[in-house]
Amino acid sequence: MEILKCENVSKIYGKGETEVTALDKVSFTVEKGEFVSIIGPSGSGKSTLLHILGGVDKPTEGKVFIDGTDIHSLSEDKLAIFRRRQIGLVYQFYNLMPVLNIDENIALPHLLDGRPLDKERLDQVVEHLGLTDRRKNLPSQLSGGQQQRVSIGRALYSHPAILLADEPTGNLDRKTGEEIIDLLKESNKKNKQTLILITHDEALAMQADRIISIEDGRIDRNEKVRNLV
Amino acid sequence: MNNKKIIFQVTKTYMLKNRKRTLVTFLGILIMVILMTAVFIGKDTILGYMQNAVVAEKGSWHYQVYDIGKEQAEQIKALDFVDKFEISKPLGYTEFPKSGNPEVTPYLEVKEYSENLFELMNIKVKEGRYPQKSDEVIISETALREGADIKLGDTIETEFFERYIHAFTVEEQNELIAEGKEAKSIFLPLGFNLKPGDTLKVPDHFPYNENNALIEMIHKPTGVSKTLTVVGIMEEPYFGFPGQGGYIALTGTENTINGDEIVNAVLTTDLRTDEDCFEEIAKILDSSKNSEEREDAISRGSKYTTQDGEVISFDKGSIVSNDALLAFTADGQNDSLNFLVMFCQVFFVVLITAASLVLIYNVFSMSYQERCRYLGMLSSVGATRRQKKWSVYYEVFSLLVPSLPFGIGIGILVVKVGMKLLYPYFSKLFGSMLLSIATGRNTEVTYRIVINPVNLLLVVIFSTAAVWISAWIPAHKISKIGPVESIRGNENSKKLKKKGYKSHLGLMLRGKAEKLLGTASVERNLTSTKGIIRSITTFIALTLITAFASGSIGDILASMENEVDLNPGNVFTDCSYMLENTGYLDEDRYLSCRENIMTSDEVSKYEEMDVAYYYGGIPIEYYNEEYICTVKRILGMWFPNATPEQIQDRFFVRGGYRNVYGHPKQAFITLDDEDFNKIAEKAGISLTKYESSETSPMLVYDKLKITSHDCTFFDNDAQKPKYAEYSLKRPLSVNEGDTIELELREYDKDKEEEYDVTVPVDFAGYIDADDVKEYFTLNNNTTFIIISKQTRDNIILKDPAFGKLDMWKCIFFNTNTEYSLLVEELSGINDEFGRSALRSKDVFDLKDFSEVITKIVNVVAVCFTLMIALICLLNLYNSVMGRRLARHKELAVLHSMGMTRKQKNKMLMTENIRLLTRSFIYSALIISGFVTGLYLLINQHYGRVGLTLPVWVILITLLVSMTGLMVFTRICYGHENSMQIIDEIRKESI
Repeated sequence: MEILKCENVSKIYGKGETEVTALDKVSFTVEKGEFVSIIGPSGSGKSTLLHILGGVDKPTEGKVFIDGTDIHSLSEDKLAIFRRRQIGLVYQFYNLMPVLNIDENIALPHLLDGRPLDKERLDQVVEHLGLTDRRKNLPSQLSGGQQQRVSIGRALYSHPAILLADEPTGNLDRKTGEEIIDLLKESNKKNKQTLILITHDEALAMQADRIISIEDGRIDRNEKVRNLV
Repeated sequence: MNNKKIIFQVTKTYMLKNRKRTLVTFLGILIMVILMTAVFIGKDTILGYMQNAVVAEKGSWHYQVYDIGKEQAEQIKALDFVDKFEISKPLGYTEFPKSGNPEVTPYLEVKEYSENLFELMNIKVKEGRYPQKSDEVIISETALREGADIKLGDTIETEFFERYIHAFTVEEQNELIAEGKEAKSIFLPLGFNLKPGDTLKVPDHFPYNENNALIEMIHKPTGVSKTLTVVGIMEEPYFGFPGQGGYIALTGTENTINGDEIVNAVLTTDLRTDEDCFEEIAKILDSSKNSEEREDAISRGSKYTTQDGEVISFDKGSIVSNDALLAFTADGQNDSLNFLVMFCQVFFVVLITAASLVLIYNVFSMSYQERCRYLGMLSSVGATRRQKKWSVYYEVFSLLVPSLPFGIGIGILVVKVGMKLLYPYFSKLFGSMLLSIATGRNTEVTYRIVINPVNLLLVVIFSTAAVWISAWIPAHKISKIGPVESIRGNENSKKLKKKGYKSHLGLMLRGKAEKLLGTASVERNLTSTKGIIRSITTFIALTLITAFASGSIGDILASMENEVDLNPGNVFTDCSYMLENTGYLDEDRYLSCRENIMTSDEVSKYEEMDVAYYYGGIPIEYYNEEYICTVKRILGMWFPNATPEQIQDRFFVRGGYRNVYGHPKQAFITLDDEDFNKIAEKAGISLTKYESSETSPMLVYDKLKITSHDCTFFDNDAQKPKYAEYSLKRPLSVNEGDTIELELREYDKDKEEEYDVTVPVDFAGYIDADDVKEYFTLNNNTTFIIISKQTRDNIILKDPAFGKLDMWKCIFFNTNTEYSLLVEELSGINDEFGRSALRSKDVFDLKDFSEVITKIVNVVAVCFTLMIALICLLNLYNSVMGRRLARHKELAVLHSMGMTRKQKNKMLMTENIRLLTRSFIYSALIISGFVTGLYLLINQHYGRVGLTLPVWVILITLLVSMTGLMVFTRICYGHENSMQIIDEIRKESI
């Protein structure tokens, strides 16, 4: 079942001589529960694509459908509500709220939706992430790996339909990076959440169901991993 | 390029990159320099203007010394601090047959003035020239105005005499009355005591009196006679007095004294001297007495205690200082004005420095994290602590350098524009003060901007010091940053609690994300939170401190200087005319004029008020314990060697010593019944229960001030204490509805003795300033009792003398036509001193000197408060903007997680409420501390003084701080395009 459809999406920055085409008529679909890796060299447009898929950036052209809804046709507020309910974002540099402790950071998207805290679920997530003894700490008091775990916990807590991860291991050592990917994969399998992962790391990308390769803003290849193997 | 230059270059680049922040810092420093300049230049300009005003009124002399001989004059002239020394020689009185008003002013009162004395005494010739010789004379224009037949070139034959007054003994009076002579009381100037049998030389400007059964005026020829040629007509000198017996006339003389001459010396002194000029002159006067004369004078209370505690004999009035002028040069005998001048200057400099300090400190504090990054990087390539520190100093001083010339220039311009704007106001205040009823003079006072190089140097020094102090803490902090922690960006983590922060579970369980974010942001983002709290607290505290301090200074001044007990309010002053009787207009005449006003068709409105003063009408038994204790404390100050029992026996005896303390001074104000009822209604006092009562109701003003100088004791064991005042509230011990037996003193003509009459009245309740503000403003130096006409009539029924006690009766009225026959008729009514009983609005709106000063202090304080508020608001804007800049990424993340605009606003509102609450608490603590300090300081100087709470200023300040924060938040957070926010997430490093 198709959960995400990207239709001729283009993104152009600047005007005239400074015009840069970050994405050029990109089209693809993602099935529900699928794990897709997007790879490509720096400046190829993969982060731009992820932000457009996540509804935090707008395409210059084209449409993005999530669960049949053209997300960029929604009003600003409706899009914001859509984002917090359907999408979980994990960034390379974690982007946690510096003034909230671990518990509060994890529960934030859920609370932003006006829903009361599910204490049991929070405990489960925190325990699962191995952060039980640090839950009162602020992000600046944690290591990079711990912060990324919190970032994943925040994305997972409210059961979003799609998880978008932008180089989540790019800032971590190999061992910690593997732990993080395991967590994401586990959530993908266990909760049937669609996972779209941006990475430079070919080996990591190979763990996905499908790889989309982007170069100069265009899809270079879009293949199932098993075919590649 | 050396290392320091690299640091400066990087700092410069940072400043150019952060233009907004650099501009705010520059503006803050610039405003500080402007304000400093305005304080120093403005102070000298305003003081100069005030000095001009005093000079225009009284002249530029500093001291006048009366009745001295040649030897004393030479001693005084030889004093180091004496600058100008001029003499005046009183020639006495001479008959003036050409007087146009011989019934009131039949003489000339002539003095010889040395050449430069005319200028010192501000004598202005309107026509002709100044006299140069002793046979040339100038005469006051009052003589011409009153119809004297005199012109330039006329000659006047004079035979001078001194005037003496003899008071007949009771026996002599009876004989004269038996002979058919009329017994007519006469007015005696304040402090001139004349007992039956006395023959005393009258003081200057004594009124003319005809002989009658009580007194006899004696003329003693001085033996001097000459022919004077009129060479000029002068404006009435400031010392002229309405109703004086002789017109003032001045002739010329040499500035020398003959062997046996008694003269008056007028001098100016070097204001830089450390010596107490007054004391030094007093010592010379004392040294001319022999030991017997000295002891006699001291035993009569004619004494002066020097700063060293030495008691010398000193006749009051023999040295007079031009206090107002000396005070404006901060060298007066009047401590309160000296204190005020010094206090204002120090206060404003401290205030400006404090405001600027917080602004500059905040700029660095808010951008601390950003600076840490680039300074950390510099540190990693070898920048030393000292070099990092210099980057901060470089920034502030590179902004200070252009600020100084610009700021000083603009500051001078501000003073110029300010004076231009304030001049009409000052001029009106001084103008109304200088419009002397006595002299009819209305002098124009001019000003000039006083730019003293020393003051400019002080501006540079104080501004540099303020900037250096402000930058010192951030520079010190920044210099400590190491390369690793600054580049990692966790330089603040040391401040965080190691155990972490407890979750706001309550908010989370209720799904209140906005409140959670707002609360956590204020509680945990200490750097930016502190910056905003500091800004708001500074704004509130400095604004209120300025308002409070200037209000207190005004209160102290008003309370110390104000001689007016009662100022009529709008109900009265809205009227164009006032007919008054201060006791010197024939009662029947006043009553018939009053009747005319009340019944005239030309009168559209009238309002009446009578004020009677009484000592001990409400006996001391009805005053509460606090009052009695306060009185005893003051008496203890006057009589330090007396025991409490002695004080009790001496001053608290029924019918005994009549003075302000033991028999409190009271003022009975009589109003129309309707007005009385209105005041009672406003105070929430029901008068219905008194309608059926046999006794009548009265209202009492709830504030009462007692000072150590309310009354003077001349007893041998009395020592005049330092000024102290005590403010009391609700001074009586009675409850509403209680009956008070008024104790009024009657005189039994047959027995020739006084006796007390008791009259019961009902105490209906207390009224406050707000209840009576439409009618009058009361100076709380006396117990004010408001009664209705009905009550007054009831009192008079039992004590007819009460009806004759009114010291001030007046009826205010408006006419319905431009030309009024009634007004013209009333204009001709004069009292015993020839003063018109009818006053127009211009005259009864006159301000007294302290009121003028208080108002000017208030105007200046308001201007400064506004400018300081501007620095503080700039600071607040900078802090809000700094916080916003530091949160770009945070807000972008929240947006990416699905926070709506409404939720963002809600979060910001929560933050602002919390920030304001904290700021209000801190401000309250700071202000309480300041007020307590000020209260203790003032009480140490002046006794227990009640301080007024500026309620409206507090409310407005709180409102401005709230609005300011909300508006700045809206400006700083409101303009972002949410979709561009993604750029912030992209910026993963600087």
